[in-house]
Amino acid sequence: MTDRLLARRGNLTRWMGLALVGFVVVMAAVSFVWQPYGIEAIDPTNTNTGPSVDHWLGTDPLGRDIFTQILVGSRTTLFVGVVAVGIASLIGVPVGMLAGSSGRWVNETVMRAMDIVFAFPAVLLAIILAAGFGGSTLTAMIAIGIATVPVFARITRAATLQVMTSDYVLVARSYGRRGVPLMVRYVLPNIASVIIVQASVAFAIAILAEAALSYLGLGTQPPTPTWGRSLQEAQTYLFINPLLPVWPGVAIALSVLGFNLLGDGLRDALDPTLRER
Amino acid sequence: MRPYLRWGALSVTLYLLRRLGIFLLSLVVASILAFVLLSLLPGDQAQTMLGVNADPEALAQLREELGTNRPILTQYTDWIGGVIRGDFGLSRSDASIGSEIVRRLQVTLPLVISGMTLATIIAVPLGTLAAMYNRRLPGTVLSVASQVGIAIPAFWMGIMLVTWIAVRWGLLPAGNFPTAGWAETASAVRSLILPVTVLGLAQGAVLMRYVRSAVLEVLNADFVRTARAKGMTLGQAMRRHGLRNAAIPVVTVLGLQLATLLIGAVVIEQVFSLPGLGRLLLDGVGNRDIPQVQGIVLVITGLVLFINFVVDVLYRAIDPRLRASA
Repeated sequence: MTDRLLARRGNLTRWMGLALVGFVVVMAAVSFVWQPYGIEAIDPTNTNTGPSVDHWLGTDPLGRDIFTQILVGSRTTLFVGVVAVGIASLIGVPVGMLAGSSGRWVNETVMRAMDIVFAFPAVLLAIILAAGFGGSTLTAMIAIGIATVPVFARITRAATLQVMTSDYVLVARSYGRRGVPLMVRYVLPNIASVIIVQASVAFAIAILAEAALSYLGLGTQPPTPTWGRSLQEAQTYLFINPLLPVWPGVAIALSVLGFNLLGDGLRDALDPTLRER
Repeated sequence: MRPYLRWGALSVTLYLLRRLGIFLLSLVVASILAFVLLSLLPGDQAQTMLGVNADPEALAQLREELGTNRPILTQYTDWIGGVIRGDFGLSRSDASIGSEIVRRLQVTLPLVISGMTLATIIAVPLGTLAAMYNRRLPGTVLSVASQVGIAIPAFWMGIMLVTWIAVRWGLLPAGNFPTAGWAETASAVRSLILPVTVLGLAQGAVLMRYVRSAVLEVLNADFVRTARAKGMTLGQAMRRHGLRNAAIPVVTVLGLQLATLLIGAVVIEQVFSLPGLGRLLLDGVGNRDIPQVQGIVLVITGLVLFINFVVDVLYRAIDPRLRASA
């Protein structure tokens, strides 16, 4: 009985992932039409209260509604994630396809260049950008996006190498298809599933990176609420309100879990060869 | 000596030289990137030091002293020449950046290395178990635990540990690395227990996934089936043939993780107020101390590239198939 249930884990993973991701998306969407309180609305008579009917998750030391902060914070999380993964895939996928379909020299040079980019992780890039421009949503998105390029490039290259040896590519080439048309028409559709799975996993990593940057004060600046900065603020008030850091952390963990599970579930669904495991 | 052995040795040497060349070249490119990116950023150093309303003559004089009015190439060659001799220049507060980096590494390196060790101690046995009990209850429980562990941000775990273990129950200090450093060994060790736990658990959860899939791969491999057919138990077959093969992808991941941990330490040092390299870096950004940031960025990227180089070489060393086809 349990064995049969466990055997269908792939499906369950996918649905749980989809549900969690859907939940975050709905939160962000709802925050545009409805917020229980203003994000900057302070209520000095109602500070550090626990969860109640009025304040679902309680209030912080300034008397701000924590639920509102979390609700609105989901926007930044998704926005940064979408743009960062967009940057990473728009650069990484063409670079990977170029490396995977070219001769040894181009392949080697491109991949070694990617190794160098890899030596500048997101947090380090964000710090470099912050040193000049100050931290902002934009610098965080660029830093996370650029730092994720090598991941997409590597995965795309490996998939392209494999597809290039297939019969249908051979046939297409014998008909004179070369370069970009060959890539777009024959290679890309066949490596798309790998890229989609990677995008989901990269999204999860981007959420973690964004949270860390906001926590360090290198990401989105006040008054826009972010989960990471809520944690930084919570840390200042640990002695007064130990429940404060719980909620933003739960929000981050659930979204990361959602995108990771979605990625795993999609992998199982899109790649039948892995289903045995 | 049989001739093919000598050819093997030659090709290994050639491979090592090639990798070393790539490593050094990458290091040069990374140093140029670190220097040029930070030098070309808006915000003139002299202007930041003297303020917006500074006298133009004083500004020009300070630029002269700092050397920021020279061509960027000259600035770079001067800087990198100094770095090669171990001289990273002076910070805004006139302290030697090089010796400060060395001092801070005495906190960061033990943190990263102990974190990695703890992660390995957690991940290797649990990941192997998760693979052996795949699709049964223990395997599923372990996989779920690892998924949850990956999703939890390390710095959040740090804040929670500080809240409960340090603030509420007062069991361990929330950081407070002693000012005397490792001279006060006992309190230095105590202050690192929570940060190391956080890094080890967070990284262990990620590593466990890789160990699990590496062991799963091996479990389905033909050579394990052959070993079973020769009468070995699964445990014997795994110990004799399996784990050795599973180690190859795991070592690669360990290397990549070491790089991730180095960056993770930057954030964790902030959570526990540890005087490590990450703190120095963030302080440098806060003070717009560009030379200090340049030096630390170079050290961190250099370490990451060096780790990649070592992993590549180790990869060859533990996989004889790759050694033969070098």
